[in-house]
Amino acid sequence: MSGQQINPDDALYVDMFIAKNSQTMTFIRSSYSAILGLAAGTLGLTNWSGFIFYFVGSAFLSVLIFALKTKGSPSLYFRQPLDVFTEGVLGGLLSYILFWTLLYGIIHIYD
Amino acid sequence: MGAWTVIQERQAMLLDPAIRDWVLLPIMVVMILVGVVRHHITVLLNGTPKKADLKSARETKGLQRGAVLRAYGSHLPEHAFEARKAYITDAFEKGTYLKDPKGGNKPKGNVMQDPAYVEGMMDGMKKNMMNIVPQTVIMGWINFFFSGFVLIKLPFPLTIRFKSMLQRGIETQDMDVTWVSSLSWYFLNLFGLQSVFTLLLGSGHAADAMRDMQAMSTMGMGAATNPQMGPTGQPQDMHKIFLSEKENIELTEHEWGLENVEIRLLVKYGKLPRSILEDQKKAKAVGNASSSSSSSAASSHVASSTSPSQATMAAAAAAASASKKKGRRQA
Amino acid sequence: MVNAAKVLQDLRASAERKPDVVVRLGKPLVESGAVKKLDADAWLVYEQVAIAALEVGDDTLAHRCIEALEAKFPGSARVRRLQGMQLEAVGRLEDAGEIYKAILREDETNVLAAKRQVMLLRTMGLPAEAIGALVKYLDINYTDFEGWLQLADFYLEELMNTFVFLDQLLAAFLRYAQAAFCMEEVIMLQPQNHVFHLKYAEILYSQDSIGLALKQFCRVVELCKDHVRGLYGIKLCTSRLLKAAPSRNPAATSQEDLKAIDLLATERLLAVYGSGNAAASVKTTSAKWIESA
Repeated sequence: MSGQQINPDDALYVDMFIAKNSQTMTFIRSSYSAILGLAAGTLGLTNWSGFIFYFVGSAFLSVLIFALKTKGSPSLYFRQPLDVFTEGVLGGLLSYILFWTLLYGIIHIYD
Repeated sequence: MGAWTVIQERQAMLLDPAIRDWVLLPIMVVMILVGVVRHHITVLLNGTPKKADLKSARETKGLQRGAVLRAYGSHLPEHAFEARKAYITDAFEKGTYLKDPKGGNKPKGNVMQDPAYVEGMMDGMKKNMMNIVPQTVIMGWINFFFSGFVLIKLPFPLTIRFKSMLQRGIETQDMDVTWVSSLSWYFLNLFGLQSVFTLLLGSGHAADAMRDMQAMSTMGMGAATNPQMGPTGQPQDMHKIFLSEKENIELTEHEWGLENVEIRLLVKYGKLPRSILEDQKKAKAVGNASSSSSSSAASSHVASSTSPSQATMAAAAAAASASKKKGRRQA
Repeated sequence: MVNAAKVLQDLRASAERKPDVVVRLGKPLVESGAVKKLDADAWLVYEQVAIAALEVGDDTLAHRCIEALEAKFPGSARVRRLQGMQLEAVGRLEDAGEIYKAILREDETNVLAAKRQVMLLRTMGLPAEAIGALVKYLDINYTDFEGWLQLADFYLEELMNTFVFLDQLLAAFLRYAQAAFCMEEVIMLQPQNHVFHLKYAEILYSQDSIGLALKQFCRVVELCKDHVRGLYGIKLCTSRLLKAAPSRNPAATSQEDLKAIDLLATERLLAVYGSGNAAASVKTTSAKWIESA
């Protein structure tokens, strides 16, 4: 393994803060996905509309975070600026499905 | 509801609300509670952290010297890097940092008598127990009490292949795959509640289903059958690890990150164009290629490879200084 | 009260050393008993205030905090370290040493006690032993960058303490080299912190490796834009290098680059001193001085 070139931007990121930001993103996304699932179930969405609802909602959340929290410069908070949009989305999907199924069942299938 | 619903009803079935009250919600609540209890029991079981051993600490930290040198050696000037490289490779070879320099390889027959190893195995087993027992118990409970009926309809479609798995116990052929049994609700909860646990218990919680899956799959291959296995920790041959680390270090070449720091600084303040850095990188690549391919007269090659980079630097600097007097940014 | 607790928590997280702030905020908390409302954090606050109180000399406050901790955690090594520090503060150095030795006998890896022992030796006026103990500690705990930093400081202090004249040159040579070695370790462990690069640069300058020092000063300014000490360092190096004969080493900085960097440093210094609310006379004086340097 040959030596590594110093990337002038490497020194800009403090590991601890990056980890904390990641954690916060995951926290926000999982709570948001759960609530989104409750909404989808209540609305009675099925099949594709359900999944589209999730991804649209996720995108909306990402835009909110991008605009309000990172104030348009996600590179200050994350190593890859696009992480704001993609981090935690798949993990949130699972809890979305759970709560979606739950509410859908409670409201539409049961008497 | 009413006007807002988008229900696609292929098979409209109404289920007894008693199922909702006595199966759907209880399963979910039980799983949440079991997860929380499991986390707290794991915390209690782990108890006080083991007393650290000075020599082991020194051993691990010693190994880290090599790793740190490899990772951040580019911040040091060449003489500092080379000196450390020489010292560390020598030390690793001689085993200066080993816990037990004269121990050599552990005699394979006495693995069970090494107290550290036994402790490690006990810990692993405890963790496995805490992960697997609740899962099996709950699955058994569900299969016993809640089998043979449809519990809920999944709001999204699945292929036919899932029918046998999700509708275990309900022997119908025409029913949609979306109608599923209690066991599948259990699995849905298992995965979906991960984030809920993270919310409730913080990130390091011990109720991780993914880890359970891994634990279940590796239990067969665990320490009982292969005493020398790495991930359970103990009887690894540290000397070999030091030697492999030593080889890694020997292979590491020193690339000084500060070689062109002045140019980078000038670029940062806009005195020189960014393209200079690209030119330098290219020149260096050319220089490396030519110097590595030649076998004799290496010095002349090195001299010629630095001069193109110096020439570009000088040319750019000359151009820059001409307009720099007015302090303007370069495009 | 909530704000004070938050400030104290932030100080704990950032590990800044602000004993006056801690005592000012913590004293009312401790004395009124309000600190107990913080539950788990209360003990951290007690420890934090105890150390700060010892630093500013408020022995009664420190004693109070340590008593509270002792009541809750009897026999804890962490509390005993605080008691050792308390003894150090009143000058009972031998007794403090005994406490640390006892802690290490029970748990040889206890970092807190080992560190206190090193500093105790220094307080007792035994710099050579302190250095020896610290070197031994660092042999085991390689990744403790604060330890390396302290060792560098020890070596630099040694410089000021050598009185024998002839030996002084040799000692200076050796000590600077040792301090430089320590700073290199610190930089490898904390590469993003420009302050460590600055210290290293200044040591290099004192060792007369001007070319290397220049590069390090550039790094400092690269990591922290417009860092004034770094800019001054650049100016010092470039002025010396420009006056000296051009080096034949192809890796050394070229003359054009030296002039370019020098100009840049001058410009930035002028910008930094020119901005802000300083009086106009200050600005002109500093500008004249910078440009003539």
